[in-house]
Amino acid sequence: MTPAQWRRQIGAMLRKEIRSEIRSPHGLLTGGLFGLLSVVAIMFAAFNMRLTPTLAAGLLWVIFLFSGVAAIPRSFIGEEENGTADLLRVTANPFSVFWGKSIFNAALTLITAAVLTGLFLVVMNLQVAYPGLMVASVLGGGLALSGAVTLCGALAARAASRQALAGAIALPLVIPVAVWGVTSLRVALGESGYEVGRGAAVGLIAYGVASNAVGPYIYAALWKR
Amino acid sequence: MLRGENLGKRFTDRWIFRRVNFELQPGQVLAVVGPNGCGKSTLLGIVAGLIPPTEGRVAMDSEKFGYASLAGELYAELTIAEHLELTADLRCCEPRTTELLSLVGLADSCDAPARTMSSGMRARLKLAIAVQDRPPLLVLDEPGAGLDRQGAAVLGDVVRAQAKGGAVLLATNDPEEVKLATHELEFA
Repeated sequence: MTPAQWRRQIGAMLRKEIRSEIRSPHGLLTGGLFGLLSVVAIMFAAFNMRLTPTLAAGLLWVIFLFSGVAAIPRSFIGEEENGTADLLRVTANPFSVFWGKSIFNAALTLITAAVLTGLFLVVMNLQVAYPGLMVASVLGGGLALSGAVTLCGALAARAASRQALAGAIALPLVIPVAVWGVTSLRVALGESGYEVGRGAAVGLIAYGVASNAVGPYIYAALWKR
Repeated sequence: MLRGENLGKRFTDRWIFRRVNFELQPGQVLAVVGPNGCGKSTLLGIVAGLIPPTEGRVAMDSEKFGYASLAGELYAELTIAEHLELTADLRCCEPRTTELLSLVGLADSCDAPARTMSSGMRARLKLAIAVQDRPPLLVLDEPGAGLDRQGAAVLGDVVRAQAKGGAVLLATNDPEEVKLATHELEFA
């Protein structure tokens, strides 16, 4: 295929996802509500407490994981459950489908992560020691988290117990993301070890790129029964 | 154009069908007929590459084909026109939206979301999607289910037009649709 054909196919999947989300905003509502409820719960639990950078980073990543893992697997699992997957199988190629959905999931995750991070920082009155590292950590974390859960959704979509399998597959894929995420975020919030924090942020970005590069090949193997 | 060689499909320990052989040449319409549950849809799913056969193989001259199935769903939030736009982009072909909607009688409903469509309208849209890329082979699984008399006439026109240069593999229990066929493959 030519680059123009790739752009056309991936663009079509992305437009489809955006239209579906605007007209039936499941992803934003699920992810956003989960995240918002988590922030509110932590706010009440930590009222009058001063959070250390490590604890704050850990709590923020709990929020990311709740919102990300809840919302994203539905993009592939939803196609199977709604019966629309065969329409894609007879008209599209798996790489374009994966990348179109992956770009959408990444955008959704990044928007949710940015909003929840801003809200969390304000509500918990936290100071950011390294703004650049903070941005890299949230962006990298969003990219890595969306890559991991997109892949687990794609892997689990064809299974009989999709939801349960998606959760089980997500565990080993998401743990490295959470470790790197907390490491980079706590340094951004003032913990010592800038080099370690920067390395973790780079790791997140690399993980996000790798999961999106490898994911479609795995998805293509499961594309048709 | 299409050949099925010794096809068989088993689910767990139950064979749905075995040793099915057929050949389809340009200009032919092959109707797969049989009682409910005999494996007609499964056979068409195998031909479309959606279901792997347990044994045997399918040989096609071209990978390009159009597929429409009663069981297949559409995107509830997308309009009729947006479905055709989506499939055209995914196939990298011309959308032919106006032409196809006129062909299947949906020109007045192009902005209607799929969730508001009747079963007959969905069947017509699936037919439009199947023929959009002018495929040499059409694989139609109970395409007439839910169609009114006008819709059935549209289906007949599409099948006859397709048979002029291409071929059609059709699974049906409708005697009127069987009349469109040049050959039959009967499942017990």
